[in-house]
Amino acid sequence: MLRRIFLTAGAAVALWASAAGAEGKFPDRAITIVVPYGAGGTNDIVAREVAQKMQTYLGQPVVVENKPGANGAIGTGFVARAKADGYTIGIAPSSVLAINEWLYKDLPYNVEKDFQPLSLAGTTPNILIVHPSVPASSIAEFIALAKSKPGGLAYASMGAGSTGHLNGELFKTLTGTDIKHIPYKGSGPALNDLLAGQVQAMFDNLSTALTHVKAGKLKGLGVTSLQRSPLAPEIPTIAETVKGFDATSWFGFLAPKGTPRPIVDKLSGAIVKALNEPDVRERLEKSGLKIVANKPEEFAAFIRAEKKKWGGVVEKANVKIEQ
Amino acid sequence: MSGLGSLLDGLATAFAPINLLACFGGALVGTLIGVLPGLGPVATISILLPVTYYLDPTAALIMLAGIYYGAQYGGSTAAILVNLPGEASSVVTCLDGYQMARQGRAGKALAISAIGSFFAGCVATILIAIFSPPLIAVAQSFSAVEYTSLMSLGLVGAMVLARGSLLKAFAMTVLGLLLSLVGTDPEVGTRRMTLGLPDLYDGMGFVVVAMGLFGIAEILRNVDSGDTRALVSAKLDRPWPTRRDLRDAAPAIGRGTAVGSLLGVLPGGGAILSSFAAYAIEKRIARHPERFGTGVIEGVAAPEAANNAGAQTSFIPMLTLGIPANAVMALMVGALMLHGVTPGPTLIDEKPELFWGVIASMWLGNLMLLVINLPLVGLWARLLLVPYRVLFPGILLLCCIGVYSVNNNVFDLYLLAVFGVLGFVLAALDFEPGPLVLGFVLGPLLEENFRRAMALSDGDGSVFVTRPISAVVLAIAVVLLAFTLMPAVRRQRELAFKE
Amino acid sequence: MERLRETDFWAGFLCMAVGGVALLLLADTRMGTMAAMGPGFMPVWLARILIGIGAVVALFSRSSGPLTLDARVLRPLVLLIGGIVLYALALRPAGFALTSFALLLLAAAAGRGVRWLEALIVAALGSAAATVLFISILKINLPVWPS
Repeated sequence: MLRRIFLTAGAAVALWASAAGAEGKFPDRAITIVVPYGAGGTNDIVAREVAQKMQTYLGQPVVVENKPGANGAIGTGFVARAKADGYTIGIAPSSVLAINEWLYKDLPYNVEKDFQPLSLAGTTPNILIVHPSVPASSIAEFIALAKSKPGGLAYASMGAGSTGHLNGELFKTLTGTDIKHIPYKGSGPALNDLLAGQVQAMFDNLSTALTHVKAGKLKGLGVTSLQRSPLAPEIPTIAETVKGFDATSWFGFLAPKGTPRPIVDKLSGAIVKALNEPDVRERLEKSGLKIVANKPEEFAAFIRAEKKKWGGVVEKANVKIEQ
Repeated sequence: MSGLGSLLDGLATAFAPINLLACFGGALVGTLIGVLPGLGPVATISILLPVTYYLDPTAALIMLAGIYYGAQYGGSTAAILVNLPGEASSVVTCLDGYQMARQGRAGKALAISAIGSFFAGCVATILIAIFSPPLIAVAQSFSAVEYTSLMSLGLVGAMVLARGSLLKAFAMTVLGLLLSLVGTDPEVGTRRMTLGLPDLYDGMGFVVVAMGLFGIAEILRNVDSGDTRALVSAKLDRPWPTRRDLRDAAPAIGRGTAVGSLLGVLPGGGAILSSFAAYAIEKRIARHPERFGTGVIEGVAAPEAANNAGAQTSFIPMLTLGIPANAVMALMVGALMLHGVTPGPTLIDEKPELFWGVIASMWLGNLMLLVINLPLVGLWARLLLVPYRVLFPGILLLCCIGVYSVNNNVFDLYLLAVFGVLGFVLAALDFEPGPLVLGFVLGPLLEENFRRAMALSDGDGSVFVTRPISAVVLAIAVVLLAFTLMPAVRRQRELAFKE
Repeated sequence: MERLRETDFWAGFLCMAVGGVALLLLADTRMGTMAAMGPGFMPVWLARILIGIGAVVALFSRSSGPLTLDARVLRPLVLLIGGIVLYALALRPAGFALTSFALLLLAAAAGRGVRWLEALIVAALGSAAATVLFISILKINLPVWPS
């Protein structure tokens, strides 16, 4: 038995030596996509859909690994520190890539310095939903209600610094209202309290909120994108009432900075191809995502523009997270 | 109610060959992986998620559900045999289950755990069918205030189930709460007690803490006692429970089922409390509460039934509201969304065959678990006849791999070493790890809900007694505490009289 | 009050020490108010309570008898805990198979009256089985051999 092990060990070492000689074949082992949230959320779904297709193109397993925590900072920091060899890449949403740097000191990553963008997967609007008992059926009525009792209404969010939180603060600034912010750990528990009427309003992802609106358990007042969503064309945009309200969430893939260019192109190409597969497209669009699937440079420019925009929002709305 | 009629339709769905296979496969894989510490249902379901692409949504969900309760059951096996709780719920099973195993009664403990789980599963299935809508209404009336009170009751329960000094159990609960808050504050992102270590930014995992305090500390204790022969010195008892065992266990199973079913419905994580609550109740109403912790069959039957019932009813908020109560449920929501099904209030009308098929398959899955596991009971029990000096290095290796596999992080292994030493020190000082672990599990929930309750009420603490459900829950906690203190007071007085 | 034992002085002392360390670590963390609790609110109060309980336990203990440590405990303690630490250090560089083999061997050495041949066989079989189970079947992402 021992001899067998030593023999196998010898064989493995020989194999490894010859593999190291044949440099340049990427990938020659499993690739990991780090999702900085728990399984089941939009980031996770997109990553799993893409991973599934990628492994058929690349001929190596593509594994999705969930590293949740601290509003996505834990998993994203992990990708930032990973070896820039293309075997560890990540997916991250707008809050992580364009918002958190304005709100938190000492994040474990720096978007400009640590990442090589691969592709923007897609965008999705949020939606302002309120409990049915709230006497307001439009954005205008909701603003009037909020103005009539400053601090009397409360809105839930998926967490401090999340898109839902920033949507709320942007809304308050643009409308001059005062609504209390109650952060939750993720969209699920926040939605639960909204359904029960413990809080009155929430900005949530369109896909998760919509089933409750369609079931009549919540009222959908407006979507946060500039255009109405094809999933719910009957719901107006907030911008139709509140000029300049534009806040779309998005999700994109990243590699650590310094990943060799050919590998970046190969990964980006595989991701774009996966996102454009008809079945993937159909499933993701059904869950509210508008597929973009662009090139590394386009995504990099997009991140810069979004970061600037959210920096402005954070400043104007004076959003501060007291640490 | 039409619920039962629909359940029959669901049974027809569940008996479709592909669904039967999915159910069996899930239950089997779940059991096998559940036995390995660390690799809980979350890891297993993540690994197997791609497989479900090839199944239709109903079969996929049936399989994932099978893994979930299979792993739940497998976790109890490891807890009973080698004192390794891989899940918060099996911590309680360790208390009496492991003692039974050491007395050569591992077979009985395993069998009663399977039977209790099966019974609880059957009842919970029917409960889901009949009461889903009204139960959800009750669960939704739970706000942060009620959850805070419920968590407090859970903590009092943990102190009550300790064997030794109540004061020291209190200390352990507080220590557990404190340890659970290490890491990044969930609301504002401030780092707390992390010693500047990035690996602690996200806090410490439950598996590390439980493995260290129970598993490693237990190995240290056994190796230290010089008993390197088989763990079971007495000869193996018959693996099957006697009629008397069943008579002792039956009421406990019934109560456990009731407790578990109720707590499982709460979307804020009430299921975690179910096994602790069931054990605390058994101990409270037992004629000889001091025997608990020495290997009584009720101490295994009640928490196992509660745990399984809770696991099952925690599907209610997921299926009817789309709100996952725990990480496993979140994965299921994700799996459904991959198939283009969004769980929510409309699911039951839009996809009745999925909703009822999954519920019916739960009953089926429990039956399969019984079929898979009862034959294995004798085999597992025999494992303990292996000399301990051969067994314990393997247990140590399993602990290390299990802990590593949760986050694929080497740092967790250093933490395991730290908690192993801590467990050893605590045992030497007569501290019990049980309350610490429950405090650790409930800490983040308690903090989150307490903060939110206070934020919503503008810092007015009276909400805890003015809201009726919260007031009742807190009253139960106070009564429980008072009752526990009384025997101590009584003993003290008797002693005083003697002197 | 319940009757406490001799070791309880040290038990109480441990609680106070842990609580004290926690308070030190939390010195800069914001407390906030009741209506808007800061990140420090809960942990600081928990640490204070822990110190309080510790003080009561220590005060009511009967005597502060010395804490005796059996010297025989040290060997398994050092070997097993050292084994875990070594496992953590070697896992990535030395690979899963060799590290598991070493851990099994080291653990076996912690027992009394070690039978080396038996320990070697168990370690070889055990690490081989673990490699097949965890790396081949369950696909844990770890190198099997040194790289």
